[in-house]
Amino acid sequence: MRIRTLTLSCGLLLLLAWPDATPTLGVARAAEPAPAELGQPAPDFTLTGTDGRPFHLADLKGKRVVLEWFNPDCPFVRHAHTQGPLKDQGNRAAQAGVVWVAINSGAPGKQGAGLARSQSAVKEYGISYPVLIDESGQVGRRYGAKSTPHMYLINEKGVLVYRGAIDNAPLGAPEGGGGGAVVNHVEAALRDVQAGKPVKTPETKPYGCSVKYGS
Amino acid sequence: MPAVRFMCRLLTWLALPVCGSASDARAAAPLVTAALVPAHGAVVPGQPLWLGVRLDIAPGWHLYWDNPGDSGLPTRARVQAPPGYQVGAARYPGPLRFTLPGGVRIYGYEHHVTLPIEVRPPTGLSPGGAAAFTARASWLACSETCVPGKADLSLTLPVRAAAPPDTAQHVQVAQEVAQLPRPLSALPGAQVSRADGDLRCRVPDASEVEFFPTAAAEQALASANVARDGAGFVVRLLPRPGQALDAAPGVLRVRRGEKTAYYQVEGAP
Repeated sequence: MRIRTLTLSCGLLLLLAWPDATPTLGVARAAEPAPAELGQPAPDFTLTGTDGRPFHLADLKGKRVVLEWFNPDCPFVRHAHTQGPLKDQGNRAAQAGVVWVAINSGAPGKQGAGLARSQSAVKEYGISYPVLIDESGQVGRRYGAKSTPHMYLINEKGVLVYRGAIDNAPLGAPEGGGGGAVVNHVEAALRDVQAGKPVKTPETKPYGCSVKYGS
Repeated sequence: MPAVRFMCRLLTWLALPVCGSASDARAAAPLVTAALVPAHGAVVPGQPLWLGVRLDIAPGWHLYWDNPGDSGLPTRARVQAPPGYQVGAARYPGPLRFTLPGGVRIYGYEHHVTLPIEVRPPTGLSPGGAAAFTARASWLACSETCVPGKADLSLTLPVRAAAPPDTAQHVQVAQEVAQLPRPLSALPGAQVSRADGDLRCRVPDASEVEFFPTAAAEQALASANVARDGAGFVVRLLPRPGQALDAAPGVLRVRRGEKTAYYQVEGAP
């Protein structure tokens, strides 16, 4: 039975993966899934977390969702989680009802990639929310995640309303030097969404390490 | 023996985990070596002087341009001079483009880069004594992984009526300054025009043209299209709706025959 199911899903996968091979079925050529766009519905995805539980974005309508691209061994992520904003921001937001998840899109063998390292990082950094494993990089590419940490905010309607940096202070130093003020872009965007207002700064330039995709 | 050492080094470059001593040596060697180097051997009253923050980068690693691109962090350098000196901002040589897996585009430097900074002595300075400069450089070095770094540098130069003969090191800094991006108007036949909110640069007689946006322009740009146009190229910069491009949205890397030079794009009148 189990084998039959497997065979069936493999067949389905083949059909999905090679739509050109099925013209006689009258199936329209499957388009590349639409990439994430600001102001548009956030692309749905399902990934499994370090806690072993599946995470399905579409189940979370009515909630604010923050996606945090993650590589535990990137110095920017390490700084943010040990001395910087992510030391407690995600945990606090999660307590306040925001669905906050980290996503590790590192390909197998790359720095900080994989389930085991992500699980140890959850302990190391005291992360109270799931880290989702995206070793194929499919979700990362679809969202256009380029760096770690690259942040995305999805509002209660499932619309992508912010993407960019966590703040204006890579490694704790506000840009422009001279002791300027630290602005936490994700916190500001969450405040706007909570107040029912459009996000004032919907996009900033992310900084950090490149996401370690496979080729 | 030298052949073995060469093979080890080659394999180290290929990131193969062999030749223990060679990889250990690489791990111990700094990824980036920084130095503060002047374009001349003395401060001459009344004459501006370029100081270069030179960063030597280990093989296989790169540092970032003023706009790092999709990830990374800009390389920064600042100079502190004695009171009365005017100190300019760090200038950036034209970058290279690297595309990483997943289409991550970054702009930066390999091997070495010098960020020149101009200092102007105070008026009324007279020869004699010395001038002490310090510099702080910071960077992010990346290959498969990324390592942030910084250095505090210093340099003391005599103040003289005339500079002593330049050394090879001085000449090299002067050459780096000469290779900084020049205004596009310095390229004969180049034209910049604005039409319907977009900006077009026409570059005549080039075999290759590449556009590098500033960080600000990158946020404002909907597209940057480089297309062949006869013997040259047209670069078309289209801002996003409601956004405007500033006066200097980026630099062009122009290859003509064997020569490559960088030009600063400037807004049309």
